[in-house]
Amino acid sequence: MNCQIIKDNEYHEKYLLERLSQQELTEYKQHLKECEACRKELENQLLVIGSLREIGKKQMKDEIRRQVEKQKIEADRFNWNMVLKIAAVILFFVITPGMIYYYSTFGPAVEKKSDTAREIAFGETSKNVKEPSLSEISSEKERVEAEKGRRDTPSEETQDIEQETVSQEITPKQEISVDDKDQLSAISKSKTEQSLDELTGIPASPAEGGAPTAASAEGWQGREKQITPYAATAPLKQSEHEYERVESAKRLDKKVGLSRGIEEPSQYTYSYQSMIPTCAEKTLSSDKMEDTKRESLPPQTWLFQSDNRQIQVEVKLSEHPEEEAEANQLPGQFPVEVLRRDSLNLYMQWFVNQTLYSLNPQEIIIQSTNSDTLIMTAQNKYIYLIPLTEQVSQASQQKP
Amino acid sequence: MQNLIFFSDRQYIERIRLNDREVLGEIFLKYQGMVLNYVLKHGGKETDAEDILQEAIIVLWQKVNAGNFQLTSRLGTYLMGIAKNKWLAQLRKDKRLTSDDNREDPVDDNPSSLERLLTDEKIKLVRRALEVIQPLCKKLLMLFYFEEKNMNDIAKIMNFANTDVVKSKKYQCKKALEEVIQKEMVKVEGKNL
Repeated sequence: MNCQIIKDNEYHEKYLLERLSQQELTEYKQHLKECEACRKELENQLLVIGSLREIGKKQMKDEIRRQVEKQKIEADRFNWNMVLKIAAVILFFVITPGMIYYYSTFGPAVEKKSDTAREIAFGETSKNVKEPSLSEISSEKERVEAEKGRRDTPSEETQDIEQETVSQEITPKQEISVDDKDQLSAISKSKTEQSLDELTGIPASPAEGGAPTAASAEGWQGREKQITPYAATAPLKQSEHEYERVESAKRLDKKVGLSRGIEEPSQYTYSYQSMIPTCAEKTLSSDKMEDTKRESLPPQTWLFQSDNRQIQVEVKLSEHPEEEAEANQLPGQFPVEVLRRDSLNLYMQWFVNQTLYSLNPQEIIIQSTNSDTLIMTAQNKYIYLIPLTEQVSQASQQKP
Repeated sequence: MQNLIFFSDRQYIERIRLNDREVLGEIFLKYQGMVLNYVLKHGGKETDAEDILQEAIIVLWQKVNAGNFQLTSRLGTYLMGIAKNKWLAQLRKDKRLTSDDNREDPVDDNPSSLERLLTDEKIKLVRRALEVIQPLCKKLLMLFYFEEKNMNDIAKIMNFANTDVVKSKKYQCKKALEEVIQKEMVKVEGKNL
């Protein structure tokens, strides 16, 4: 080994970086002992390379510190993200039971249960009744007929009446005139009496063969108590004509506002919205009508009353809009709160903006009540059972 | 603070090879507690532990980049071994300084030990010289002499065409630095005279 070899092969550098092989190292060290110039060169190399390494080490230590600080900050962010994730998971486990409760309370399964309960209560079987689905019906008229069929599945005798009713086309947004309203009111009252008579088998007046009781002398309100719950299965044929007209107008009225929160009640309230002004005009005095705008709000509190006894029922309302396609499907169940429970009446009243509205009994008919359950029939001919034994209850739909 | 996602030993080594410098902080955070525990038990302070671990990480960085590095044990064990050697060397040095013992300075067997042969004044002189030369030269010299990257890695990092370019550039840069150092030394000697 000589100085030129050492210089050409960068032995000084390799020695300082510990990259010489054992043999090279031995020869190199041997040469250093003999060569003053190489030792001097090694010192120069040591100054350069050693300093570079020392400077590099300090720089890398600073870099490590910076990295640590940076990653600590990221770790803090990471922890915050973890907190958010944990919160999301907790929220999920809170919401999920709520949804399960919701569907178990108001879902389709409950509606089926309600149907089963009705079958048990009324001794009916709906298995033989084939109901057309909405998907099979294309035209509006067909849909109207199908809806009607789904609601009441009338007997052959009543089908003739229904066909007549459907044939009376009502244009969209057509309003019922005052004369029509009066006529409807009179017809509905008489039809209600007749339908109740059909249900109960008790004549409306002594002239018709009924017993001359105090209740009959007061009109149809007093007789309602005598109706047994089982009579509710009979169709209300004479009230169908007016119902159909109103219902058709309602379907074509695009302005009907729907609400939904608890699904079933919103559908329930929908079915009355178009009728509210009409009924209000009939039952409220003129001075009250001036103060009362035609609200599209659904009834919130219903008051079933007789001469000296009454049942006040509050229907739970909802806030969210409902699909119009679903609007004609009345709910299977909806929650109600029995505010007062004295007795039964055929008049149905509710408060809208602290104004008392009354509803013609033809449109919602209280068929009967016993001590524990209120039985009523809505326009769709579905029968609802409202248990009165508890303050907060639930109306259950029973298909006719 | 310690909720970082830690990598496996192999992943750490691979990231060092790929010049992923964020791995420095991650390794520090991962093994900080272990080294701190050792140093505190052996008469050191928290700052001593941090310094020792930093130096151990630097040795790891240099060894991996020097090539032919094989991790035969767990990374923690390897780093702990370096840290122990460095801490014991530090203790011996402190003991020698306090007792005026003239025994030979204990030198641990890693490349950074040669820096101890240099005085602070010379190091400052080289640091000033490094600020004079081109930044590219400074980076190249640091990669080669401190981080001990091989020519291929340097070519990739610095976007050189091939290793021949790196060798040529390294030679030029080293020459430039030596010239600046010589000039600086002349200046210093002139002032001393």
